[in-house]
Amino acid sequence: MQFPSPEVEVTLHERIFAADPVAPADLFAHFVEPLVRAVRHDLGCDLDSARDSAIDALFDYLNSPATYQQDKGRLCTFLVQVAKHKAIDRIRARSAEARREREFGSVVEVREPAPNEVMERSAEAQELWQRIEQVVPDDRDRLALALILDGERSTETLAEALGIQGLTPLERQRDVKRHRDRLVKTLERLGAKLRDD
Amino acid sequence: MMTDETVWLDSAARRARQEPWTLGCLLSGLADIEGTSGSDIAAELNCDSETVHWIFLCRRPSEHCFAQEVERIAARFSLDVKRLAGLVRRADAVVALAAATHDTSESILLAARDRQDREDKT
Repeated sequence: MQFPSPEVEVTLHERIFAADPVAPADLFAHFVEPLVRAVRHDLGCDLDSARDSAIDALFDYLNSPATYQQDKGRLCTFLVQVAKHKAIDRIRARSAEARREREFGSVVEVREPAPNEVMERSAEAQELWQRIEQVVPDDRDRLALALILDGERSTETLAEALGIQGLTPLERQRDVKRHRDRLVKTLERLGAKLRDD
Repeated sequence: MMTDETVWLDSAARRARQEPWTLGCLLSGLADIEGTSGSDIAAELNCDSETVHWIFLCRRPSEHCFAQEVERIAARFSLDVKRLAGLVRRADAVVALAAATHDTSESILLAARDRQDREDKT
């Protein structure tokens, strides 16, 4: 199933803005399947993550349709971006959780940061991530970088994020290392630039 | 057999329950209070459970265009408009009543606690 034509998108967007009661159902009917396919194609993530991310993206849009600006591009492009962000967040959260379980399995207590600390960190992280998006245009690279920043060390996880398939374990390990070094270099250059700024 | 569509439709309908503007939120709220399920809603509307999932994704009809919007949803999913209108009206009333009762009982509890505190101090 393909994304609907630009004309259908425009009509749907207008109907959603006009609070047409059936428009949300029609939005799902038109967009879920192509969105899932796009997210899986671009990020190589599993079907469940892609599906949940597509559904979350559509609800985000339905909750605030004004976030989509028609003059900046097609609705499908906007929704794919939102769904991919959701998928990356999901994969990062899962990876972080798995790592925490591995590393802190025996630790009894982890200090909870104060709410204002969390907000400040979140704002800084979002700003930094926008800078990263500028210097790392490829989605798979960004996903791998997000995992590296989260402390992910597993070759398998990074290979999956980078879409590396069909190699022997040794070749895969080398390929992942090569990509990892390249991404870390990019990050170092960005770090140096941020310090200079 | 579960097709791709039935799987995502089921997930989307579940997710719709969290959004206050959806019929899914309203009708699942009614089902929770009445202790019924999606299949009971399907039976009441004389449709299959997949259609119930689709209507869960619709916007709940607004007060000022109620009849027109219920007709639109009913027409889109080949439902009996009177049955759908009756169900939505009942859900509106029961969910609102449950919320009001909940608020009232919370206020009563708070007042009772305040009074108990004052009595304890004297």
